[in-house]
Amino acid sequence: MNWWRGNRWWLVRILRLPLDVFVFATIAFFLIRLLPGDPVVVSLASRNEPVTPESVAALEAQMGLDGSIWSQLLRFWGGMFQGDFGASLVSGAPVTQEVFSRLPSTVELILLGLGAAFVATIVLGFLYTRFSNRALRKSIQVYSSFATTVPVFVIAVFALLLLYVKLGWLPAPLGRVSSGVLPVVTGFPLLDEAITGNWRMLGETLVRYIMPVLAMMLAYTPNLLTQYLGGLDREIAQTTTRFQVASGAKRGWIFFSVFRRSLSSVVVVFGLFFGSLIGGAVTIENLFGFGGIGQLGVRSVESIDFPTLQGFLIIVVAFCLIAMLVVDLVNMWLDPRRRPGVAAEGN
Amino acid sequence: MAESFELVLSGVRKDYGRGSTALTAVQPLDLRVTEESELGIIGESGSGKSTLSRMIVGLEHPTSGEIVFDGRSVKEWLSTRRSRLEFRQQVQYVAQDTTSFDPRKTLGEAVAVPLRFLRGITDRDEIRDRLDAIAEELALDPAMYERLPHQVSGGQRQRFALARSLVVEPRLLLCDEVVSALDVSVQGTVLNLIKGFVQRHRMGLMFVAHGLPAVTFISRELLVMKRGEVVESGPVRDLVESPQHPYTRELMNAYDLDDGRKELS
Amino acid sequence: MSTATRPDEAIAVRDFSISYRVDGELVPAVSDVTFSLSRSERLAVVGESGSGKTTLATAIAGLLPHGVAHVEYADARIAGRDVDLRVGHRVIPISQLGVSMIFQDAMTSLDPVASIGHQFRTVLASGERRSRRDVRGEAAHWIDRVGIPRPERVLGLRPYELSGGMRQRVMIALAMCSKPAVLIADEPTSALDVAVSQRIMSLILELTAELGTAVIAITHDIDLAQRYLDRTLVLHQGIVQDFCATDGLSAPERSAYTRALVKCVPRLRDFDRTSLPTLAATMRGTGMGGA
Repeated sequence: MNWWRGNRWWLVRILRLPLDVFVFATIAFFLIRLLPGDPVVVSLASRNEPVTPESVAALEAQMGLDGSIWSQLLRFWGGMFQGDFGASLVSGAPVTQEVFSRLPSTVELILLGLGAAFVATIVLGFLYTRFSNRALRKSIQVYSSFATTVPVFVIAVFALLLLYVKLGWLPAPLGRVSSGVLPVVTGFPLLDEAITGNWRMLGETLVRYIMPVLAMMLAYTPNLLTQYLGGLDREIAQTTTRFQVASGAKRGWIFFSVFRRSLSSVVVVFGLFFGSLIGGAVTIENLFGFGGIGQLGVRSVESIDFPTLQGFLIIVVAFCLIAMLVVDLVNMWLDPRRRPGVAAEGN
Repeated sequence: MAESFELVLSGVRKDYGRGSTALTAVQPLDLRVTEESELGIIGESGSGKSTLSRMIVGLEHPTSGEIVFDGRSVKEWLSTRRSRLEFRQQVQYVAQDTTSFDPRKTLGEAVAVPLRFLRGITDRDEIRDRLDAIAEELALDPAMYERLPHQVSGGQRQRFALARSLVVEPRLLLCDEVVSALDVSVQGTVLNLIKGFVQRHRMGLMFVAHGLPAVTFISRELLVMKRGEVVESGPVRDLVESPQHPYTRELMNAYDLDDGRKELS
Repeated sequence: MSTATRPDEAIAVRDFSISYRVDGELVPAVSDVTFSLSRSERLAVVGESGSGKTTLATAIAGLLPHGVAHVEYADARIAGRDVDLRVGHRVIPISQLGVSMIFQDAMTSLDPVASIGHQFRTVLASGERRSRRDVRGEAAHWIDRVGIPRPERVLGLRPYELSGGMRQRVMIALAMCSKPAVLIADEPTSALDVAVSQRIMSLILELTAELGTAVIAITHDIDLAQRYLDRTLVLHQGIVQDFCATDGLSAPERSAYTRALVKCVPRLRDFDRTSLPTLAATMRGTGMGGA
């Protein structure tokens, strides 16, 4: 019983996730069907197919748009529980397969970019606190003020122009490898290359990741840094820090305490960021010729691949919800007072 | 001069929580306050004195029992917008927290707000006159009305908070820990002003605090609370000179000190 | 380290002055303060808000914010050794050896996220390398010393899991476990009821007496000084009005300000009066042609 009470905070959050996804999927279902226009007719027209009652009925059935809205909903739910979101109108393959075969590559890119931004934030925050050099601190603050002003693709283009076009240090933006097909085991390119022992490809991918990851790091660090610097300034002035200094705590521990207390505001932004990161990743993928869900999304919109769009939307959102859940859990782990059921004052 | 009124509490009780964490903040009590009252309520934290004053002004509702002001229950007073405004004009509550001022508005604007909303006075000149009058009564320099809250000292801010409450001419003033955060050397000034004002305008006063000397000066009657219960009540002189309840005696002893004599060495 | 020539001296400062840089100008907060305390003495630094008492205490503890304040002095010694009390330039100030400080609110003083045991470790484990068990045992001893039952259990708890009273005691224990020469208490009882104040003050006095730590209590409450502290330093606008035994605060030799301050403390027997003495009125009265 006690174990339940002590661990309730994260168990409940995890159990709630499928429910959140289910609710969102249902909302998405209705939202998509509220869009103006008739997707069937438009889809047929865009593919230059004749609009006849038969072709309309056939396509309707394929898209899952036949029958009353409630029977559609029931079929949708049924399909969802079985993991079946229908088949792509373009390739004929199941939507889940189309999405999941591409998603890991995008996630790998995002994690690397975000990871780099996070490390940069921590390092800059440390320098900001450890050294009192006014020029250094000021320049770190100025850098953080660029938050949300420079879009990631602009930086990426600049990086390309400088490092590839002008200096020729880095290879052309033509995909993750120069030749050959990426091995597929888990779906994560770097991981798969390592697992299959394909060292040439691994090296090439790592090199080709330099520019995009650098661009993401430069673009996303200011956002995280603004939060972190704000947190640091606040926590350093807090009575807590003054008491630690006054009671003679070891300096290393004081720094650690200040960093830990300031970190939660960064972690929160992390979670909020994830959604826009996927958008940024799509642009990066396009720019550097990487395969990923970005490609899939563009293709589905161009050909109005209804089932794929629907599945794509739901799966990506589910993914973001998972990311936010992880962020929440990390935050609650970092600071026990944020756990539900814990009173702020002593109980 | 305020009209007479009667505030009656019958069997008022306040519980919080449920089950194993249930807590009775205020045990059933009866009380009668009029415009002649200068009632002090003393108790330590957790005694229920603040809960009691919040219930009287309607910020909290009793779990059982009734609070009746001028023949109508507080719940009734708060039920319609018009009667609510009237109630708030007649019963004013000043607390210790002087961060209740909007930091972007001047003190003059802050003090004028209740005049506009509770008294419906919008004429600029009349507002100015009333603001000046209350400033004089509370020994405040009217020039400070132009200042922002953070530009004046804590003691002055507390007096402006009082001005804001008193400018609408309430019949009953409830002060909750208004001098506790002030420098001891400034407390005398504020207490003198409150006492003078209340007597001149024949207002009822309920003064809640945990610091005994302030309360005994400003009150004629005293209510001693401990853990939600009223352990003793009566005229101030009686309670100070011959306290009956052991808790009251303990409190009085803790404060009774000759000038310059130490208690512990 | 040079040998202390005055083994019993806890702290001594001479002509200690602190100014703040405001809009390019130096505004004095504390001017030429001189006092000294032996290890068994307790001092109250008394003054109104803005008198400079908090600035003085903060400076002695080495906590003045960097870049804004300017400190000068002729002498400054802690535990008989000369110390550097000038404002450091670090973002996080360096602890002043031999001085500990406790604050008004224990909840904001303790690290909200770390366990009590960990917080003790950050103080006790500095210096020579010690085993975890040693440190844990000493932490438990301190928790017990301040009157908290089941110390072993408390070590694993976090501040929000303790009651207010326990948090206060833990804060005192943490401040004292480095065995400082001077303990500064910033408004130790302002937020407390009279009964709790008594308990906390007697705990502080007991512990400091046992360990030979001088006490400096910053307060605006003369009553606190008169009950618990044997010497008093009265500050007004940064200037020392009096530095004397608390017993003699009402003596005629005291400055007009000090005597007025003493007169203005609300007393229980004031219940009979029609109005309380105020600082301004009292000073006007005594200013006119002497007592």
